Order: sequence, then structure tokens, then C-alpha cells
Amino acid sequence: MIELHGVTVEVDDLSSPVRGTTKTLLSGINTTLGHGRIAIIGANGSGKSTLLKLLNGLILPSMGRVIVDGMDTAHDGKEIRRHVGYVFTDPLAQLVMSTPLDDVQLSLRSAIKNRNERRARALQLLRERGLAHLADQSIYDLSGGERQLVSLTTVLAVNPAVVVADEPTTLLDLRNRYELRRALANLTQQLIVSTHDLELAAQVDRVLWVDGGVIVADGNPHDVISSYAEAMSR
Amino acid sequence: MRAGGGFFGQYVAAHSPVHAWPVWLKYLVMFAGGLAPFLLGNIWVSAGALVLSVALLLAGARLPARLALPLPRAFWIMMAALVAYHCVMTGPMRGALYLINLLAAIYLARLVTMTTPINDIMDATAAAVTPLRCLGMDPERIALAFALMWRSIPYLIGLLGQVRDSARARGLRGISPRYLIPAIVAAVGFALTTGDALRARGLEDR
Repeated sequence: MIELHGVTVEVDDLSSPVRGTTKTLLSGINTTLGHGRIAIIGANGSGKSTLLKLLNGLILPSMGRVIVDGMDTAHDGKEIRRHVGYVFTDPLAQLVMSTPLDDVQLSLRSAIKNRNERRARALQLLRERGLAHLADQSIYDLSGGERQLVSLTTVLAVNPAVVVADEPTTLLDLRNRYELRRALANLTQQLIVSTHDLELAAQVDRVLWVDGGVIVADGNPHDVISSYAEAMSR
Repeated sequence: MRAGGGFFGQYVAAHSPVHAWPVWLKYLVMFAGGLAPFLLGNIWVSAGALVLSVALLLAGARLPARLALPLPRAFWIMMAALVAYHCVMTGPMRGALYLINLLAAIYLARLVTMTTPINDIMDATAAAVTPLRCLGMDPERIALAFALMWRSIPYLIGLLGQVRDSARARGLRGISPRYLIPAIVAAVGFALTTGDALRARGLEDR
């Protein structure tokens, strides 16, 4: 369970000529992200990614608190990052090694010290996602969908309780989008995903619509997506 | 962006005798074969090191020549300038010696990078720097930093190529220091993104 209590995120406004001016990215967010699958929708710049980055302590609130299963992201970032896996929009930003096998092994390094065991486990994880044939290929030779599935595998390798995914289908073509949707639908972990992909948002249990740094709607996918689509078409 | 393999190549999975060598042996061959020609300054030793490095890449590691041997054009331009300088200043033999020594050193470095998965290099690095633990250093962090540096070199070389291509697409020709600015900005962006990825994956927290 993730609780956000009066969370505000402010950053220095570098575009302002006046030094010390701040820009508010999120303002007074109060919500509980309980169990189940949750999507966050909203226009570009609305605060979706900022909200997601708060959930595993990638950024800290300027005001308020983010509590993940009783732990505060301001003090327990290390524990929380073990608990909450994060999938980036661009898998090339996430994959820091040159092959899928190396990258999954990197995730496993602290948990499995023995080299052969680590390699076998990494191969097994790739096999489970149908990626074993890509194990030794350069990540630059993979398709966008394959890269995103590898990213997901590197996150799942450490067994997080929650998977947070920031617009994971944005850079994908339709075929890869379907494939990733299927992978996300089959996760046993809690999923919190920000997306412009309304079909993906329609698959979850609860949708939050963020606009201008505040949550403007929170409810079942059908109602929230309809309101959002209507507002965007005006 | 497609990252270039650059001077040092990228890992190629294969079942070969050299792939099976322990990492320390590969490093030993690289240092011994790469340094001896520079220290001895004998053309036959240099030629022997070059033949050995090529033989190890092609026969020992069973790597295709099209992957193992080509070097970037920039290297040959630099070498041509170096050889020309030596031909004028110290004689053609000295120039040939430099060229052969550098080729042998680069191919022996490729022998390590093209036959060793980065995780094995990380394991070897972490083991080698374990004594530094008594100074408060974390061997795993050093190994990760080393692996990231290794991974970043071809990426950054690729960045320069991308900036040059962008300039060409706008009709700009020639080499200009102006190209460095967008490359530096992109490199800083890459470093920040990599930092975020490491933090998000809990790799910074170890």
C-alpha cells in the first residue's frame, strides 16, 4: 500500500528571469494507492511522471510524505527501491549493460554471488518471458518491444512487490504494444502505470486523471477515461 | 542510437578456447603482448605480437574477421599522420614500429572485450580490488563504475557520429569544434539518465 499525504513537488523555475522562482509540478496530492492495478492518465506535462517517481523515492516531495508499506521515501529509499520496481519509458535509459543477459545478471548481482548460478537464473528469467534467444544480442539490435520486455525482466528479477511503469508503451508500434500489454496483464505484482494508451488504461482496476499537478478524477476506468477523452477533444 | 563498437569492440558470444579462458589469463596476455613490443622496440617482437593477436582473435576466439579486425577510419587517419611524422623525423622503421605496436595492443584489448561478458569482467574487477575494502571502498561499486565506463566509451563515440550525421543532414561539412557542444550536452544527458536508472534499480544503494 502506497499513501501520499499532502504531497507537493516544487522545482527551481530555470525559465524565470527571477532567481529563486519555483515551479509547482504536483500540488497537495492526497491519495492511497492500495492493491490492484492502477493507471495514471493525463496530458504531457501534467505531472504523471513526477507522481510515479515519488513512488520509489526517485524524487522526494518538497512538502508532504510518501509512505510505502509503512516506510517513508525520505528515509527508507533503499528498502523502498527493493520493494518498488520502476520501468522507464525508454528502455535504453534503463538498460545499462550491452546485452539482455548481462543486464538481468546485473539486477541479480547482490542476491546471487555465484557466477554460474546467477547466469543460469538470468537465462531462466529471460526464457520465462520468451527472450532467451536474445540473451547475448546487443540491446541496440533488439526491437523496441523486445527492449521494453527486457527492461521489465530486469525489474522483475529482484522480485518487487509493486511495478511502477512510466508510459511503457509510448515508444512502441502496435504489435509491440499488444505484446507489452499482455506482459503487464500477466504480472502477479501490483501495477501502477502512467500512460497515454487508453486501451492499456482500460485494462486496470482504477484510473487517476492528473492535470496541472493535481488529481482531477479518480475512479473506475470507464468513467475516468470517458471524462478525460471528452475533455481532450474539446 | 546505434552505439559503435569503437576501438575495443563488443562482446560476441561463442564457444571457443579463448572464451573459456579465465579473465586473469586474458588480462595477462593483453598486458604482456601489448607492453612487450613497446618496451623492447624490436620489429620482430612487434610483428610477432601482431600476428599472435590476430591469430588469437580469429583462430583462438573464432571471431569473424569482419567483426574482429576492422578499425575506425579516424584511427587510420591518425596513424597515417603519425607514420608520416616519424618517416620525416626519425625514419620509416620507427613509424612502422608504432603502427604495428598499436595494432597489436588494440587487437589484444579486443580479445578481452569481445570474448568476456561484462559480468565476468565485473566479477574479476571486484575480486581484484577486494583489498581496497580496508580503505572503506566497496569492490562492487568499483566494478560497476568500471563496467559503466566500459559500456559508455562506444556509446559516446556513437554520440559524436550522430552529431556529425545531424550536421551533415543540415548541409554542414567538415569537422568543427561546434559539433562538440551538442555531443557534450547529450553526454551529460546520458550520464544523468544512467544515474536515474541505477538509482531506480537500487544499484546505487548497495
